[in-house]
Amino acid sequence: MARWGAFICDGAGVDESSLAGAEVVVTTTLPPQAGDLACKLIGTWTRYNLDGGILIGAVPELVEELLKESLRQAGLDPFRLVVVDLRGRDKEGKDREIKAALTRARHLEPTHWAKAKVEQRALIIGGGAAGLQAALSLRQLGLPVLIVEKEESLGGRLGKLDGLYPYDVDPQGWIKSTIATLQEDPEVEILTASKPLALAGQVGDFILEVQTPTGAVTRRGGAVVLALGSKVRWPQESGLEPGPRVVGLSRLDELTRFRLRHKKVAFLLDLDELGSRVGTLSALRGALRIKDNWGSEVHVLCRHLKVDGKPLESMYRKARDMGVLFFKYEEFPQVTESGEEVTLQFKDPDLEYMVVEEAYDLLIVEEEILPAGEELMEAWSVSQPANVRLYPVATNRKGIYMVGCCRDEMDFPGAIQDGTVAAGEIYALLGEGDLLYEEDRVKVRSEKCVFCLTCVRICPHGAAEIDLVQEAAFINPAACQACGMCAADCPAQAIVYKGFDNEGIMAQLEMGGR
Amino acid sequence: MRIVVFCCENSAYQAARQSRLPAEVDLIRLPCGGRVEVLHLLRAFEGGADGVLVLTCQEDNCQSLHGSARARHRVEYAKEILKEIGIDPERLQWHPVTSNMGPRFQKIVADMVEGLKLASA
Repeated sequence: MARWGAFICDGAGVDESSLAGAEVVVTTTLPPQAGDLACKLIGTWTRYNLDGGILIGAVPELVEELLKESLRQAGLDPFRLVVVDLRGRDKEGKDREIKAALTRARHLEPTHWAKAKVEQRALIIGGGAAGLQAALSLRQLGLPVLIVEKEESLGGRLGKLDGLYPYDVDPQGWIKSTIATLQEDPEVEILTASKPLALAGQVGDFILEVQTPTGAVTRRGGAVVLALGSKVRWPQESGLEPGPRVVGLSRLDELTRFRLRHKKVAFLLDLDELGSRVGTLSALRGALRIKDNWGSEVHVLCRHLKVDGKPLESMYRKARDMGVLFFKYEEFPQVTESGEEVTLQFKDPDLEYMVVEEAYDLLIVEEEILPAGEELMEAWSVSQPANVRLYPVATNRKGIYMVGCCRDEMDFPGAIQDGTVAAGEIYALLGEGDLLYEEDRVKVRSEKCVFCLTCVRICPHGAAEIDLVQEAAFINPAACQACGMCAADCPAQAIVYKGFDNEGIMAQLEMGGR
Repeated sequence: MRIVVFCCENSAYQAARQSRLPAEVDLIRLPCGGRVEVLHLLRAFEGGADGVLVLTCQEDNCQSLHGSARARHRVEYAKEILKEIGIDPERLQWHPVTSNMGPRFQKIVADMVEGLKLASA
């Protein structure tokens, strides 16, 4: 028979008779402080050689997490601690909660832990700012990396810019020094002009196939970083056509390298209603560059200028000091191109809707910035919806992270931060050298599986796999995040979720019945 | 009276911890809203529940991406069955509740109690 201990927090006001059940071999009152609580809990647990514990009292989530972590570290099974939080319950409610907990405890089986060696190496797809920073941070933490870059050279979009914020960081310098550091490092492998073909395996041991100019190669790694960057789309809906007088914001650096000296330049921002902060940033940077390089007259037309970031406000002020004029529009301006000039006609709400008509010899248009690499993400069932639980760099799949512009529009500091954060997460995952996971929390009973692959189709974490030898589905325990969706949907009831199996849930439902 | 509340451990269960609950509530803790089955919902009624609530995350913030949406779909499906067997489908409800919504949790339960009282009067 299972041996359970009941741990009652001081002042919980629980009648011990409500615990009457053969399984409870010891009842202990616990002190109110969480730290002492952990000591006493673990002490009693080991002394009485318990199979599990029921903790009763005012137990906030943080305390529960802390105690479970302490149990884990003490080599005990955290899943065998059933917590009954009695806050907010009256006498009868308390009794019901305790009865339910006892029912739950009766259906808990011991957890089996497994340890797997991990490939202590990260596979980074994309050698832009975010990817490079991830590599750099991972190397500082001591993990080897592979960088796969589709272009001939590293640096991504940042590498194509001449200067970042006019008076701040020098991206070329940053990229040069970063690449030099990485190239000198024997633990860094860089594959340029290469394309990822396929990704197999799961967290701890991914197998990546890469097409290099000299043929396909295979590399293994414990984690994957997707730093796929972004792509630029011309705003066709606006009716504007790119030409010698109308260019996209992304081409600004190509232009300002030459001493063309356009006399009068306009930036047209916020072509879609919302616009983007990165667009404002690029335009401010561009306006300052043009002022510096050409000394032209510069106008910026926008719906709303987004200056709520660290360099933005000061750049905006600087631009105004240098004589850049800012206009607002609500209705999209009328654009007419004639010979050497582009004329814009619009009404500025801040000028009491006065009609402004200005002719420019260069119009620079904000393009739409879209995340790149959708095909890859679909093929590898990776997604990262705007979800606080995944924020900022995690994805639905364990061990796969997304950084930089492929997850959100961001500027250089944002990309750097992403790379660093992902490196930290990966170190926490792979740093120890092995991965501890529950072997059989969610399990397919292969004799019951009819191979319908419902679980493979619905698993949100890409953990359900096909076992062709057994002709059954297989839930990869390392990748499983134990949501139980497969167990709920399995038409053959072949999937068992330990701790949340049907028997346990039904028993709790029937307990309060009459 | 008995109300069974299926709670997602990540959201509604945390909200339950911050709310004052009437005695007739039984909380069933689930790892994710996606774990709930139509069978569980019906079995709850069979076991004598007067009302059943399924409280899960906001649909955009489900850790398992579509667990919460699946819970909602299952509730809708179970409601159809309840209608067929002559049980008021309003006795089964799904609501999104985040982990810091203690008062909302309390309100949903109180509304359910109120509704059931009216129905039995």
